[in-house]
Order: sequence, then structure tokens, then C-alpha cells
Amino acid sequence: MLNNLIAVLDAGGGGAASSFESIATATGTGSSGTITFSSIPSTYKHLQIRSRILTATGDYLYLQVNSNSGSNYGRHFIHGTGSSVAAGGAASDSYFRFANLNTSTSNTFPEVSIIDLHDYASTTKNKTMRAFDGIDFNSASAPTGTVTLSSSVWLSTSAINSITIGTINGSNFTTNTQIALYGIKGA
Amino acid sequence: MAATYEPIATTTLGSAASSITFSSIPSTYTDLRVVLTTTATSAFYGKLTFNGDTGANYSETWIDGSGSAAASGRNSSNNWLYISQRQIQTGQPQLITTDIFSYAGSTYKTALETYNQDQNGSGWVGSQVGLWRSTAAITSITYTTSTSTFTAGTTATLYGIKSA
Repeated sequence: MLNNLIAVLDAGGGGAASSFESIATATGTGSSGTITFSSIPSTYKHLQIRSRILTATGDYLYLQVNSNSGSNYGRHFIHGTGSSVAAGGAASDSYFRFANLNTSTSNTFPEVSIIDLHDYASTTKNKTMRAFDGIDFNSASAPTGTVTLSSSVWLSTSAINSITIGTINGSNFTTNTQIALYGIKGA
Repeated sequence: MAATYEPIATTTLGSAASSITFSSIPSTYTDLRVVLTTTATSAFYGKLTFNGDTGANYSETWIDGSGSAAASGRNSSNNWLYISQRQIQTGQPQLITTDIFSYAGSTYKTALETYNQDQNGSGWVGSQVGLWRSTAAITSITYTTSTSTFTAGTTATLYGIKSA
């Protein structure tokens, strides 16, 4: 069973002149394989998640929005493994599998990601997301590393108000895991 | 409120040079980002090192496309990260971005990099993940050339990104 860590939102709120603002940051506890940002304000134009993830045991990563685990996510990816290029996709999935698809996470080698959620607060459009992700093991034999570019659609016109990042098989995030949520304002 | 995403330093070369260094980087941010635009005096491979470390502590996995083919490769136990898996060319500017995550933390350092260049007939678009096997905080970042020089007009900006 997955245990949730609810990220504490920055109570500072508005007032800053910057168009790129930190909304919340979560750190792994060592006893949970999920991190959730909830009560995301609708006042930004886009969201960006920047993460450095290490897990107790090797696992794979996913993203869900609004706790929606229905078959409402489609995705496509291209990745390089250091020896080959592959591309693929999936339809009607229950989450956005944004990270490496053939190499699991590690407790020593950080996996890093930049995930963009454009127009997240729209109530008239489905949501498109993209991710740039990578992990390297300094190894010529498996596991070697993977760099992945992926895209996903969430088939819902609901505004995104929560985002969960988790491990597919339940491995816990280590205490060196850090996931940060940023808001990008429009004019 | 302190800025979340702010420039720390910018270098614009007034004359050709073989290296660009950002030093005395404060530890107060969460991530760093470098945006570099450059052309070569003559084609060269660009290198990236941290804290002056030139030991065999770097590795990377990359993917890129040339307009006719896609390729992926890796470099292990290298003495630097390549800023581009293809030579920096003369002519049109090459754009290189480097995102370094938790640069002041106590784990190994992983970076995501992009490189792209188009010569209106040839070119590359690439992405890579780079690893520096050091638990030290990054306090300096150096870009150097394998041969030749960055041309005058080359610009590099270091940004700090600070989470809540």
C-alpha cells in the first residue's frame, strides 16, 4: 500500500514580482513511495516540477493528477540507452510514466527530471505534459543509463489541483529525494 | 521574497577564449542552470567540469538526431562531460543548456543537458544526462575547448533556481 506524503505549501503566497515562483518543495522521508502536492492554486499559467529522486530499491516513476487513476492518460516517448534509440507509447493508461522505461531508479545515482504542465488550470482543454528525464550509472553494462523525452495527455478538462509523483512498485523515496513545484505566471 | 529564478553571473567574450569559468558559486540555490550560446573559431569538442576536477569522475548517456539519423551513446569514467556530443561548429551559433540538480547537496550530481545547432543544411539536436561522481557541493563550473577557442561574442549565463 502506498503511503502519501503531503507536501507543505509555501504559506507566503503572492506578492512577488517574479513570474517563476516556487510553490512547494517535498523531501523524501524514507518511508513513503509517493509525494503529493495538493491544493495547487490556479493563479499561474503553467507549472514545472524539478526533481532529483533516489529510491531504496530500483523502481519506476509515475505522475498522476487530481488523484485520477482511471484510464485517462496517453503518452509517447523517445529515449536513448547509450547503445540504442527507442520510441513508443501507450494509450488509456492510469498514469503518466514519465521517467526511464527500461532502467530502474537507484539509491546511489540520482534520477533527475524536468516536467512541464502547460495551461494546467484550464477548464476547457485536456492537459498536455512533457518530461525530460535522465539517469546515468557510469557503466558500460546494465544498468547503464537512460535519457528520455516524453509527452502525455490527461483526458480531462478539469483544472489540475494536485499532482502525485510515485514509484510504480512501491519503493520508498530516500531522504535525499527532493521534488520541487514551481508556478509560471502569464502576462 | 527572494527571486526563485535569477541570474548569478553572465560572461560575454570580448575576444576568443579557450575557457569560461563560473566560480565562487553560492550554495543558497537548489538547482543551477547554464545557458551557453557559442560558435567555434574552428570546430572543437566542448568540455564541462566541476570544481576543477579533471579526474575520471564523469559519465553521460545521450541521444541525438542529425536530420537523417537518430543515435544514442555513452561515455564512462571520463575526465569531463561533453557539452555536446557533436563538435561545436563555425558559422551558426550552437545553443547549449545545462541543468544541475541539487548542486550543493551531498549525493552524486546529475545534470540534464541539451545541445542544438542548425547550419541550414546540417545540424544536430540532442539531449543527455550527465553524472559527476562526487558528493561535494559544486562551487565552480568550467567550460573548455578540446582545441581551438570559443569565438568573441560567446555568451554564458549562470542562473540559480531556488525552491521553497
